[in-house]
Amino acid sequence: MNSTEIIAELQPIFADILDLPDLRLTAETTAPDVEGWDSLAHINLVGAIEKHYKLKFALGELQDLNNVGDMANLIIRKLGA
Amino acid sequence: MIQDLNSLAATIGHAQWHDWTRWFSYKIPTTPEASLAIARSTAAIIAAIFGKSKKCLVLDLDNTLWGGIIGDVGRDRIDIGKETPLAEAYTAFQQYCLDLRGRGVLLAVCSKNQQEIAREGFSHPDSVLKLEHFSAFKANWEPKHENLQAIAAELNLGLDSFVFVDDNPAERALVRAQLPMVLTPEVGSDVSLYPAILQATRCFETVRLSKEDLERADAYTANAARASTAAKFADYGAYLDSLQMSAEIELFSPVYLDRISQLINKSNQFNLTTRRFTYAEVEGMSKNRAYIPLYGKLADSFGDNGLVSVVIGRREETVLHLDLWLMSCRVLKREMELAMLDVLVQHAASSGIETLIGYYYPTAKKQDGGGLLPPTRLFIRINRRRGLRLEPEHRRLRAADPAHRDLAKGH
Repeated sequence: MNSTEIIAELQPIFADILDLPDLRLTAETTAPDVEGWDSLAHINLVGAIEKHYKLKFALGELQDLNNVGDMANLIIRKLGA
Repeated sequence: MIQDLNSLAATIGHAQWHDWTRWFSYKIPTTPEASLAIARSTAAIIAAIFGKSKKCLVLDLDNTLWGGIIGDVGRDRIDIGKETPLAEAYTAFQQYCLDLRGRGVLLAVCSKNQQEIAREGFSHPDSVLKLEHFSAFKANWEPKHENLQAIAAELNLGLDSFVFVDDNPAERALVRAQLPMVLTPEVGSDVSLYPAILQATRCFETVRLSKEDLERADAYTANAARASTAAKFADYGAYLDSLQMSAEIELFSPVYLDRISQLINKSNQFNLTTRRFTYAEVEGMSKNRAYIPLYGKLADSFGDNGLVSVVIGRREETVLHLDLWLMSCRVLKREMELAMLDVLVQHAASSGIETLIGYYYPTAKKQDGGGLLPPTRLFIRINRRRGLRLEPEHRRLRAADPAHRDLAKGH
């Protein structure tokens, strides 16, 4: 799977957690761009992504992500590992 | 309000409870699943506080409260009782419903059946539930949601306080669609799971103990019962009489040596010398005629306290040295020590002892102010009641207890 496909899969997850049906994610999307993407929503997003891909982010892996694209690449790396 | 996190953690499992990554990242100590369980539990408690707990449990009959279709197989062939695993599971669910009733939840029947045949099921000798346990009984061929409405009107309760349990998914779907305010849990068709599924909804949560709760709350420890008994008596002696205590005080016997060694090596509070002896030493003393080693067991109207006291006297000619005198804290203030003394003196007198010498070595862990008989007063009793000469170690007692002056006057 490539980054675009992952982002397409993340879109409904984000829309659900953030309660924003019309949300459109791109690789460049960051938290400040999205209404309601605060720290608590972030915890829920991480939990939902872990559940969806049946993976567990290690401590520190999430610290250096700058945008949704980074997140998608991290998921690809973890799924491949 | 009390939130029983330990029971939640036990239900989910400790391994699924903590999440160190979430702790270090967000300072949330629990896994998402555990957090959800805590949230649900909190919500149930808050709902109960605001009186939102469910009040009425409406039950289907065939394949819900018993196995089989009673209209087809007849009363005598339904699955209920203890004869088969399936019958046992239905019995357990009936018992669960009856327990809910004991906590004040109303029970009602809503079944597609002929009234007379449906009622017969509860005359089955193994049926835990009887007709008189139900506050409303609808067995007919009307749609279930209409029967539920009729029951609500009859009991003068809101449908939002109803829970509906039916093994038939079509009936559940109908009720859920027609009466969304009724809680219709997805119970499936395996009755062995029904109690746990209902329990998980926490919909019958209570926030205070009613009289009925207390009547069933056997979980109170016997000690709580004793304490409340004590409160009813103005005179402590009358309370002790009411306990109908009976003590067994005998020389060490092999069957108790394990328990005796255990007590000797762990008792601190009522332990006059805090001397420790190994199992071998205890066994040795039990066979050595130079010793008078006594154990004491105490039973009362609330139960058996077991072996709770040990006294070891060591004789030197006509003198008996009380090397050890201990008692378990659970029988403090029961005058057990005086009973031990009585028996000790009997043994001493019959073997030519003229003098008892008691020893008391205070340690940091002894708290004699707590109302137990101070050791020195115990020794005074030895002296006065039995006419045996008492020679406590004055040097130690002077430092330990002002009561030693009374002792000195006695000599």
